[in-house]
Amino acid sequence: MGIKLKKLNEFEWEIPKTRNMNVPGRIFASTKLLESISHDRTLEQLKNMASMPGIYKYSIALPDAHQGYGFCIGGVVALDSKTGGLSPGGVGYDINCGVRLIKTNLVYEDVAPRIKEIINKIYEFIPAGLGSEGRLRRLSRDEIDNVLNLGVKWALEKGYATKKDLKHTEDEGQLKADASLVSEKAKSRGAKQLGSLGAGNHFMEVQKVEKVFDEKTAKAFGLKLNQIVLMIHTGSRGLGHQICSDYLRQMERTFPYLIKSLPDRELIYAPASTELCDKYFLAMNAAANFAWNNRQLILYWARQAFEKIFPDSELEQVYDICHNIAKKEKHKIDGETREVFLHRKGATRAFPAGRKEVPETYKNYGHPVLLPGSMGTASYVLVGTNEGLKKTFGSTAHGAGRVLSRHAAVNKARGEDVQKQLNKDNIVLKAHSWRVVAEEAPFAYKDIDEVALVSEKTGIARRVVRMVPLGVIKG
Amino acid sequence: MSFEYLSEEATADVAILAKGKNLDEAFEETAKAITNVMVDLSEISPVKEFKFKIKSEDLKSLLYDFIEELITIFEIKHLLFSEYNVKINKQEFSLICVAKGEKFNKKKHNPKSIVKAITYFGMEIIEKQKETLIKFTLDI
Repeated sequence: MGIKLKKLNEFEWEIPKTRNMNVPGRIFASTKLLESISHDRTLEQLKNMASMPGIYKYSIALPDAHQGYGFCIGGVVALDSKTGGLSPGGVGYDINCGVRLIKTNLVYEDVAPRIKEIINKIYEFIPAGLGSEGRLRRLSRDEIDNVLNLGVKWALEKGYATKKDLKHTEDEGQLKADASLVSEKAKSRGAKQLGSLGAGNHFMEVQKVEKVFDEKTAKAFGLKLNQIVLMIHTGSRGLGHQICSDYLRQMERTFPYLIKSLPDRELIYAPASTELCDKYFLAMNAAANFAWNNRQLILYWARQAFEKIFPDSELEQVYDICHNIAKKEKHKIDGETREVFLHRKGATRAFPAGRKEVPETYKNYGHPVLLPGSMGTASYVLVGTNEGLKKTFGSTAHGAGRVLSRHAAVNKARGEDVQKQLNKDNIVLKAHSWRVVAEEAPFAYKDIDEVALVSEKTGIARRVVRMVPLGVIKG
Repeated sequence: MSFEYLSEEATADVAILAKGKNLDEAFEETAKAITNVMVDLSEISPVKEFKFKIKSEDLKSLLYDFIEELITIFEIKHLLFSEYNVKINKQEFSLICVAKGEKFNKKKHNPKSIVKAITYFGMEIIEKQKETLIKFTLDI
């Protein structure tokens, strides 16, 4: 594509502002990560993102960035909440795709001999894969509306959540939403799928804490060496996908003149302060509430699965965080406090101590930032920094980020061979589809250690602990 | 006529190139390519008929709405099709699709990937004299 980059320092690069761009583009990456970022259309998408209305500072590509649709994945954009806009393509179809980390009172020696049993039990208890549906009896429309409006408070009322789960969820698992703005089609897709994992890059992992980088913060998060933790990675399933499609199409019909001015139709947005902008915001939030309940139900059944194998086990939530969302947030920009629609697409909020969004328990440290690895590789807990607040509006990477396409991965190895390799590394794998296992092979992803390290070197987040998987469940 | 998956075009998603001798056939190939992402087409028996209509504002949004409908039919009704007959009205940007297939059954159909959504990214519809090409990206 031949996009020229200006090197600002060892880990920061700029696409200078040209015609059509309102601001420059900024990439946070090492030379090694930049190489894989440059080999697809990520940089072109970063340029396109810089053409959005009311954008502040620069469009951002994080260390795990790769090509998406409209916005790149690992992309961050701040648009003024009164004069900018809100873009479904800047959030992604899987609204509030996110990660939940649960600590246990078990250590490696307890779980290692029984890892197969616990993985089989989780596999049995938690629906996943193509066509999977949740285990709840069919929810009535009123009940679905409660899920969408109340967020995890719905699960709490029903006995699927504890108060502590809520406190340790981003925004306490509830954003202001309006279920009446969600289509019947979206509700029909969601009604059956609540409490299911899905497929693709979604997974559940039993992991052990393998390294502690920051003792003090790890202690505050309740994490220590050798401890067993559980990670859940999924989103809002068909309900969220449908809300994104519905509103993207509605924006096209309401603002047809915008289509021609955009370099990619997927960048369509609702101008801020319009009725449709407000509606999409409340519908998107409904999908976010659904996703939190989805992960909550999965935790509820995971607790039961653990109890079957380890009757004295206690599973406590460390944190739940989204990485596909637009939030109304206040940021200090060029000396002024501004309210923005902070689009994070494949990007994770990373707020340090001092922000009101950080839960009480973690207020002196910042909230945990969860960085899931790919299947069979390490995952990280990071924490936000003041520098990140200035540089990336308090955002960092959301995972390893793909480097090989799904098709290329399948051509390189069979799912069965990938499983064998994982077994050799003492990782148990249960999957619903061999195809997905091949697509998600570890070699298809960037090096997660490099992504975490670069997050720290650029100053946008700090490493707290590193976890490695003992067992994986894929859709 | 045919469809293929383009591995160089989409890092995290699936890019598809569908070819037909006209627009109707290119849409049919598109539909097959999507079904084949979920399960192998050859595993689906065309025993049940299902008909639906779409109306949109232009050709690209017609393709977008058509694919979105296929995804939702699978998620809500669990139907998968191996045969498609599409008739497009190019003046009205509308279509009628008659599809043949059956209900998804994990014992019969080996599950592959879940298709989350269709995207506009890189979407192209190229109508030539003897051939129509459709290129697009799915969110997986």
